[in-house]
Amino acid sequence: MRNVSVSIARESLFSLPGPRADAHRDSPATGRGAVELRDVSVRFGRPGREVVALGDVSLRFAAGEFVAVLGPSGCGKSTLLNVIAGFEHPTAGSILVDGAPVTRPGPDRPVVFQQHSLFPWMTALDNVTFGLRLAGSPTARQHARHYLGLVGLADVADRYPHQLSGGMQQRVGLARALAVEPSVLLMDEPFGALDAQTRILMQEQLLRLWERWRHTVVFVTHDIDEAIFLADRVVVLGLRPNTARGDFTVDLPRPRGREARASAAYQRLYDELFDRIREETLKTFGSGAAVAE
Amino acid sequence: MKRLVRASLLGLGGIVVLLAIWTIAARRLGNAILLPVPSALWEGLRETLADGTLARDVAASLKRVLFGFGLAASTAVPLALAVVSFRPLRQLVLPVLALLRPIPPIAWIPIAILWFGLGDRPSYFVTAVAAFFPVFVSSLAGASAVEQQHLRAARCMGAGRLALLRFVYLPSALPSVFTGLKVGLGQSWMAVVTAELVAAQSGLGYMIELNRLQLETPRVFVGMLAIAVIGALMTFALGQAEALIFPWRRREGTT
Repeated sequence: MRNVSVSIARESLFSLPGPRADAHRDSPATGRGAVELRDVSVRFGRPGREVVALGDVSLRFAAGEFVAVLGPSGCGKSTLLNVIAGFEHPTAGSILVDGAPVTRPGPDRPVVFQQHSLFPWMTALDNVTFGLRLAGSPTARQHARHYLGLVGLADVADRYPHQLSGGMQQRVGLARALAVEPSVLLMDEPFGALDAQTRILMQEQLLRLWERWRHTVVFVTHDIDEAIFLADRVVVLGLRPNTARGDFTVDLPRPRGREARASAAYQRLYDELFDRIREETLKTFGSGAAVAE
Repeated sequence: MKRLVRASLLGLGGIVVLLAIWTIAARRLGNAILLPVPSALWEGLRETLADGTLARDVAASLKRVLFGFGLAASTAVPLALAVVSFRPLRQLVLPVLALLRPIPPIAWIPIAILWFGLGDRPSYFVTAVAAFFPVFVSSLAGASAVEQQHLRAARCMGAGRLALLRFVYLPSALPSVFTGLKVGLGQSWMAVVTAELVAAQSGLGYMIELNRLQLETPRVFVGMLAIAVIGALMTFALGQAEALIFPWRRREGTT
């Protein structure tokens, strides 16, 4: 009996959004967050023996577009994300966000990483508060609580990352990125290390949250199903050269639920993407494999 | 629990065995100036406690260690962090430190006396030198081992150089910093006694040297025992503090 009342009290405490947090929640990030890559190349190593991580990619993502970047291992999809984030600098070409060149990382383009990116010395709440505090928000903590609540983690606010499951850690990572209210959200295989069931629930939660803001999302994955389920558009990166090899529009109505995966449109696109990725991946098996085909 | 009791019993047993061997050896030697029986130490302890000299010497040594150690810690930790986050500084500073590091703290004592005379100040200097290197080296290793992923996460949330230092490098390095502080405090404590043997007119080092000259051997042992007990207490206290400072390292039950 006592436990019940305690948990109710807690629930209402955390779900009470502050006035400021509430005001933010309903302001969609429309109009901002257009991303443009102009002839972007990234090469490593000395001339002559260099490795081309990304070869001459030109892409335009409209503001509010959910783009999945799909491709086999080694196609440079993480590099693509890193140059947009500002972690790596292109050897040639430029990246523009809303017309301004990207020179370094910033809170207008936070990244949700695959795993282990939370600060282990901070509680879940402090992790989410981090970016807000740097931005000088006077209501940082309250605001952060609100975002933790949005990913369903209000009641673990005071736990440290090692006390959370992998899925919960990723949700904290998502809340941390969302809390700074970015115009572009960069996601680097954020659900790649999770089990299949958790992954699907996370995808559904991400879509529910995204539909409130409609910020631009660049979502890197090697999972075809995930790309189709989430995105408006799927860009396929190929191998040798590592550049865009296909651009597909996902014609599935939103909001999407479990039924989206059962539709004929889903299946058609899946097959098409599967063949395209297979073609690219076969390159890593050498010509022998291609002949055996 | 049972295991803990057994461990403490065995630990106590070791001390009893040591005292027994000591007593037998002292009896057979029969020279109280070279080796008094352990029970003679009680007398020495009682006297030095009663006349206040032990307390005064302990206080003098502690003051020097805390001052010198504090000086070392407050320069070594920031320097290590700065060196890690700012490459030119690293290239400037590391060779100098690599060159100074092999000089044992004791070898600084003559020059410390020359520069500072006798009294507290040479001891401050020597204890600071003794603690500086372990603290610096550990802090440097800790800060260098920062996760690139954490740096990236912080930078894309808007962290600049100073915020990275404070919120990422420092907490990442803290467990190693703490290890360095533990070692450094031990080094300081050993160094202060050495410095006091020659460069001071108070403190535990001075006390054991003075009592050696006066052939008060039990008091020499009392001084040594005090050095041992206080050193062990410091290590213990820092170990306890560690658990308080790093709550995220405590492995509690997860969900």
